[in-house]
Amino acid sequence: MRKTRILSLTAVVGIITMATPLFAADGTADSQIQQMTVKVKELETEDERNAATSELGQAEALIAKARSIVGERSERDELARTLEESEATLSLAEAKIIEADKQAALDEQGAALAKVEADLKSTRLEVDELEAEQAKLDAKLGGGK
Amino acid sequence: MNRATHSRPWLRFMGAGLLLMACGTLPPTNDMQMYEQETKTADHVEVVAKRYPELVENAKTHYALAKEAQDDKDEELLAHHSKVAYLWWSSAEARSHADDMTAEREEVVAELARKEEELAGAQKQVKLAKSAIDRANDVIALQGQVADSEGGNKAREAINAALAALKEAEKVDANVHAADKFAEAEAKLDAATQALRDGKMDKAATLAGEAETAATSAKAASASQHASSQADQEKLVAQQALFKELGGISGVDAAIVEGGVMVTVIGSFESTGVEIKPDMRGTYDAIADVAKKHPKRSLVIEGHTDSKGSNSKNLQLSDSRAKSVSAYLATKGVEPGKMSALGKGEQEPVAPNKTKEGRAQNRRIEILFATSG
Repeated sequence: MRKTRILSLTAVVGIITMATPLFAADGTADSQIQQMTVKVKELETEDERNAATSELGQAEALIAKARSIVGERSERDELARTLEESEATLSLAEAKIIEADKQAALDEQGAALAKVEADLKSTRLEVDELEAEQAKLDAKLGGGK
Repeated sequence: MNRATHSRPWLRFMGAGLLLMACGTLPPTNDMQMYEQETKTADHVEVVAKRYPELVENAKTHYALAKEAQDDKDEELLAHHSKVAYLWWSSAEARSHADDMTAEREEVVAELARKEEELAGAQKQVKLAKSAIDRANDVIALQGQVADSEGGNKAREAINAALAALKEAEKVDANVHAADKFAEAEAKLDAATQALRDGKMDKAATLAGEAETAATSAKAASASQHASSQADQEKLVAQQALFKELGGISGVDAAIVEGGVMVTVIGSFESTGVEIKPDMRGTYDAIADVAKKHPKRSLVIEGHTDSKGSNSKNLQLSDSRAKSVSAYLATKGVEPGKMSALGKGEQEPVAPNKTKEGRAQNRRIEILFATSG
């Protein structure tokens, strides 16, 4: 009898401890899903170079999965894992967009520099030729008629 | 139930345990292998971790959990944590690469400005050389038509002297800095050649003499401005050299700004501390070395925080941190009188405070190596 009572008490405590974080986690999960949905949309707009198409697609799929299991008590661990993966995937998507933007900005300046360097090279050649011509004329002038 | 029945599950459990031990751990996943491969170089990890400490911490946490799952032979958790660890690491790494590209772009921009300046100089040389050649050709053609005579020779010599004076004036950009005088010299020279063409030797010599005087005067008027623009050019070159020196320090971002070269250091302190973290001292040692090599430059040190906590506390914290950096640099030989330190609190964010990464970027120290003079 005593043993049964202890077991029942353990079971009740167990249910309470399992249930409490589940409700809290669901509340947090809902808002997390909401925030991540907004973030995906923002990043899709920012991704002008399609640098993170794959990651954004994966994040959308993960968010959809999270949304489908958010109310399922039995899927609590799966939900937590899905949210973790979505968050990390979104972070990578954002990083790839930033990286692509920086790469494009660098390439643009690199191309501008290459053009100026080419112009400079040809202009310096022209200067050398003109200076040689000038030296010849100076010699003629220096020698008088 | 007899004793043998009771002991059977225990024996079975032990047998399974022995079997597991014999099998070792689970093989690493692809994500785990890629994570391990990419984080093999300690220096690289250190740079990324300094820039994005929270992302790298996330990666490390999940990697540790993946290792645990591997030991526990939990395939599902191993796959999950390996994947998440690699995602966080890739995110930090890509951002850090983006930072490198920003620094590289700034270098390219500085190089581009220098090359554009050189190109403008070369184009100016072409223009001047062409006009000098045209003038010389005119004079040579004309001189060939002028018969030898005392007056003719005198005029020719005067014209040659005026041409030489104009060339000297052009070398100090008199055509830009003393445009009126220079134009006057050119006009007089044109008039002198015309007079020579008309056979008016005395007039040609007089006008050529006036052209020479005007050119010499233009050169004198232009000399100081030319020297000052040369000095500006030298300052720019010095600025670029300092930028390159500071940009080479691990853990800092350097940028040429109005008033000098600015370095930004993030992750210098523990969350509420004001002492520079031991692993960041090397960065400040390197900054101190550069500062000592440029004693004419004063250092303006600013502390910045993210928006967490109260404004007044953030202001106080950022001030204490800026002063802590100043004190540390002083211990490394930077003259205290050359430094000023102040806190800006959360007032000047460089990234959104909504995200962890943004907040990490905002918690920073900025040091301006101010242009001297």
